[in-house]
Amino acid sequence: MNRQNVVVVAAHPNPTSYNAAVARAVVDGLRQRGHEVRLHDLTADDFAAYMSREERHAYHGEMPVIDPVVRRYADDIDWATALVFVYPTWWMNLPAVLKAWLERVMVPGVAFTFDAKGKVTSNLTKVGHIVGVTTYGAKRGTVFFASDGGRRTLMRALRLSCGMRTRTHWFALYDMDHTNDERRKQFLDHVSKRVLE
Amino acid sequence: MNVLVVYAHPYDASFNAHLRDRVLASLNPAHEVRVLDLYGQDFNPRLSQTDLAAMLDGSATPSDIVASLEALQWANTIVFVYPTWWSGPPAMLKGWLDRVMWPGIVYDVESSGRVRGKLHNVTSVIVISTHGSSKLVNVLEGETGRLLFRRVINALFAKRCRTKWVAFYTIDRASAEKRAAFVKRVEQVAQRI
Repeated sequence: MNRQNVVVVAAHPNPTSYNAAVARAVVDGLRQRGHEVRLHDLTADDFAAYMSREERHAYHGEMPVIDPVVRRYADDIDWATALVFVYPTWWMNLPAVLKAWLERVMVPGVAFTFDAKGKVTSNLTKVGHIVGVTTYGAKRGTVFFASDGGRRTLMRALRLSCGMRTRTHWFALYDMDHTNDERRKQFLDHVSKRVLE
Repeated sequence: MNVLVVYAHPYDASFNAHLRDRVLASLNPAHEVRVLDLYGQDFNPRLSQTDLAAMLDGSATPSDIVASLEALQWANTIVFVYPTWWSGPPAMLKGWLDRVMWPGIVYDVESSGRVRGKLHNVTSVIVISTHGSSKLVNVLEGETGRLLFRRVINALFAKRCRTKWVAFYTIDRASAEKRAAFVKRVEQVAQRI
């Protein structure tokens, strides 16, 4: 794969967690293979986990981005050719802080534009790849029947903003509480080597 | 009947706030009603490292979710009112679910890994949600909000609990007539509780 400009979004609240270790391994693996990486560590950056009143008011206006961290993140999105999300699945969906990343960063002018009639066109035409990396408490079958909402949000809803030629990739570790150290290490090594490979 | 209304929109001049008000005005006056206004009460939706540790080691629940947990244990019917953003509930509401649905109180995890709900007092859930895009786009996106409430959250309540989905699509381009018709539909749903 050609050298990519990768934004990695990491959403686990505990920096000593397995999920955080996977995020670090993803960043290291990408850099080792020659990609440029910019990390959005939502916990370390103390990213607000909700869209504020002020942001909601500004949404359809001239300047939808008001927070300086969001500004930095939005500039990274402008630069990115690939997006990688590393997060724990909670209630079959994205943790609130990652949902908030979508709401606050992927705003008009950044992710898409509204034309005069309110029709949406994508601004993310440079993004050729979206990758999801997640851990689940539930087993694979249970996730399937519950309809993996986190996956749908990233692989369908977000992808619709990126244009139809964007490729998607999914890395999943199911049944977290019944894995052992060896299985977890196997998954971490696999993801580190294989993301955007 | 104890009716809990959980409302999540950033400002009070919104159509969602109007829907909330119409729900409250349409409820049978014999019901007891409580309202959780997540933005209004500055709810913190971020599940922190401390929260997670407390969930895992059986510590006491954080003080700022006690009122929400009490309301959940009191309610017979829950009505959610929120705008759908990116195919699902706002982060503020998702964070309320992340933080308030506390293991041992709201659910247990069986040895098989299956989640078993404990809130048998809740026998009915109604979700009222507005959408910027059309029903077609929402179906293509996978309707994650609808599935979250109907398949995942519904399992936390009584076995016979059903979650009713009341959705308004294409809100940005809807006529005044369409909006009024939806308000009427919401009032009727609330009256029947």
